[in-house]
Amino acid sequence: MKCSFCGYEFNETNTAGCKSCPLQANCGKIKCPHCGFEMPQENLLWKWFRRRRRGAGAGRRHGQRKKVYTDALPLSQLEAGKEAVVCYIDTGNKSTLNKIMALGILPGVRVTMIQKFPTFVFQVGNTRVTADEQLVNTIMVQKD
Amino acid sequence: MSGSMSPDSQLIQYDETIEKALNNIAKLLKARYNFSKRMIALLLLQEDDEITKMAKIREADFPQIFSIIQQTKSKYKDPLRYVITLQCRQRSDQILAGVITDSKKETQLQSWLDQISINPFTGIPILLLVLYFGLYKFVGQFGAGTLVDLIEGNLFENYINPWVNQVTAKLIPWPSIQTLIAFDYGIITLGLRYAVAIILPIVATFFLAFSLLEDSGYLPRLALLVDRLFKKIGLNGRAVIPITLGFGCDTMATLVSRTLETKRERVIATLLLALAIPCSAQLGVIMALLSANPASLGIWAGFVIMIFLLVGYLAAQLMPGEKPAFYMEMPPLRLPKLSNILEKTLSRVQWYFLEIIPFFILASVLIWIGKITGLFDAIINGAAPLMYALGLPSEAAEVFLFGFFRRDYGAAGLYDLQDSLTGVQLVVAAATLTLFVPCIAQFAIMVKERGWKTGLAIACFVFVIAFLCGIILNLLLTSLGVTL
Repeated sequence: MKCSFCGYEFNETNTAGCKSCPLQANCGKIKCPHCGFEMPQENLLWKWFRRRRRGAGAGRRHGQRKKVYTDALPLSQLEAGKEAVVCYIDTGNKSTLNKIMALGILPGVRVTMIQKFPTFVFQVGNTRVTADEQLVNTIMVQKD
Repeated sequence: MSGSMSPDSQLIQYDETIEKALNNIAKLLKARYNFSKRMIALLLLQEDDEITKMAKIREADFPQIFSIIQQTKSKYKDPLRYVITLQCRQRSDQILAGVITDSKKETQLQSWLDQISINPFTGIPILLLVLYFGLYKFVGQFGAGTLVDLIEGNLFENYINPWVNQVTAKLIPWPSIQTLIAFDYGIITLGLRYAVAIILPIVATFFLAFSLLEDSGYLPRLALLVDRLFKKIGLNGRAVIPITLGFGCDTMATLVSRTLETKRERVIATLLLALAIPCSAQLGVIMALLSANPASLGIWAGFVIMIFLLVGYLAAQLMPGEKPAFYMEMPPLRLPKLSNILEKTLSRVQWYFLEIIPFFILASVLIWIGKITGLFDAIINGAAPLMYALGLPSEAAEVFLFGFFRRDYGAAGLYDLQDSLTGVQLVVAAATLTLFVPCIAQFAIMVKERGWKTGLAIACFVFVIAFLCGIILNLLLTSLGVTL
C-alpha cells in the first residue's frame, strides 16, 4: 500500500515500525515504515474500489506482472531430481530479495532440486546453491 | 567493459522509465566521483546505502534526486534493484547465448564424491572423520602436543627463558621491574613465550588444516550438514567455521565470528565460544587428566555438550533480533593447490599475530600488577567459599585464577593437585574450567569485538553459569553416590 503522508509504497505485512509496540497485534492501524505515519487499515469496500480503479488504468503501470501464475509452487515443494523454472520471488523483505538475487536466482532461470534434507541443495544455471527452508520457500517456481 | 569498443556501445539499455530517471539524475549530479555519473545514478536508483549516504552529503540537489527516485520507484511493483537486475540479466543472457556452449565436465569420481559429501547418511560420518583427523589428530595432537612440546619445552624452557632471566637479573637492579620482564610472569618469559611457543604452532597447524578444507570446497558442505542443528541454537550453518575454530583457539574464533551476518548471531557465537567450547590447550589438559578413567571423560563431555546445547537453545529463544538465514554457494570439490594453501596460512598467521600479541603483553603486565599489589592473594582467599561449594580444596582457586591468565600454569596446578583430588572432584574441576572464560586474551578480544557492554555482560554471565553448573554437577554426582 501507499503511505498517505509521504507516498512511500510498502507491503502491509511489513510491520517494521511496530516492533516495540505491545499492542501491535490488533490495533487496526498501519504504520508507514518510512515516515512513521499511522493510518487506519483499509476496509474491504475501499480496497474493492481501489482495485477497480487500478484495473482501469493498469496499462500505465510498468513492471506489473502480466502473466498470472496459477500453478506456481514454492521451490521447497519441488521433488529431488526435478526441474522447474523460477516465476517470481515472493517476499516483502528487501534483504532477503537481495540475497536471492545475489545468488543469481531470478525469474526465468531453470532450477534443479538436488537434495532436500538436511538442507536444500539445488542447481541454478552453473552454480549449486544450498539454502534453508525459509529462503527456499520464497522462491516460486513452475514445473514444465 | 573492454577498451576495444567505445564505452557507449557497451552500455546496457534499460527500459524507458529507468533510462529517463538515469538521465535526469545524472544531470543533477554535480560532485566528482570515481565512477561515471550513470553508474552513480544507477546505484542511487537501487538505493545503495553507501552511495546514497555519500550523495546526501555532496549533492546540493539531493532533494530533487530523491524525488526522482521515489517517482521511479512508485511506477514499479517490485524494488528497483530487482527490476534493474532482471534487465541486466536479460542482456547478459543475450550476450552469452551467442558465445557460450554448455558441456558437462564433471568426472564420475567428482560427482560421486559430491553426492556422498552432502547426503546425510554418508556425509555425517565423513564430517566426523574430517573433524577427527583434521582437528583432533593434526591440530590437537600434532600442533598442540608435539610442536608445542618441542618449541616450549625445549627451546624456551631450556634456552631462552634461563638466558633472559640471567640477563635481566644482571642488568636491572629492582626486583619488581625484573619480574615485569622476566621470571614466572614476565613480558618476555610469559607473554612472548605464550604467543610464540603455544599459540603459534596451534594456530599455524589449524590454519593449514582450515585452508585445506576451504580450498577443497568442503566447508559449505560441512555448513549445510550442520545447519539444522545450528538453527536450534540461534546460529546458521555458516557459524560452523568460528565454532570449529574455537577448538583450536577460542580467541581466534571470537575474532572470526565477525564474519557472521547479524549482530544477534555474533553475540550468540561469542557467548557459546566463551562458555562451552574448550580450546586446544584446555582440551589437552583435560584429556590428560581424565583419560585414565573413560567414565569421567564421558561425564565431562556429556555435561559440557548438554550445557552448550541448553544455553544455545535458550539464547536462541530469548535474544531479540532477526532469525538467522542460511544460504551459500556450493563450489565443486577441487584438489587444493599447495602454493595457495601455504600462502593463505602464512598471511593468516601473520594477521593473527599482529592482532593478538598486544593482548598477551597486556596479560603479563596485569599479572605483574596483581602479584605486586597483593590483589591475587586477596582474590584467592576470597574464592575459598566458592571452591568449597564446588567440593574442591581452597588451593583450587589458584588454578582458576592463574588458568585465566596463563592456561598452562593453571593446568600444571591441577596436575599438582591431581593426587589429592578424588575422581568426582577432578570431573567437577575440569567441567568448571571448561565453562569458565578460557583466558584473558579471549576476554580482551570479546570486549574489542563486541564492545564493552556486551563483552562484560557475556563474561559475567559465563562466570556465573560456570560456577553454578560446577556446583550443580558436584551436588548431582555426590548425592547420586558416584565414585570415579
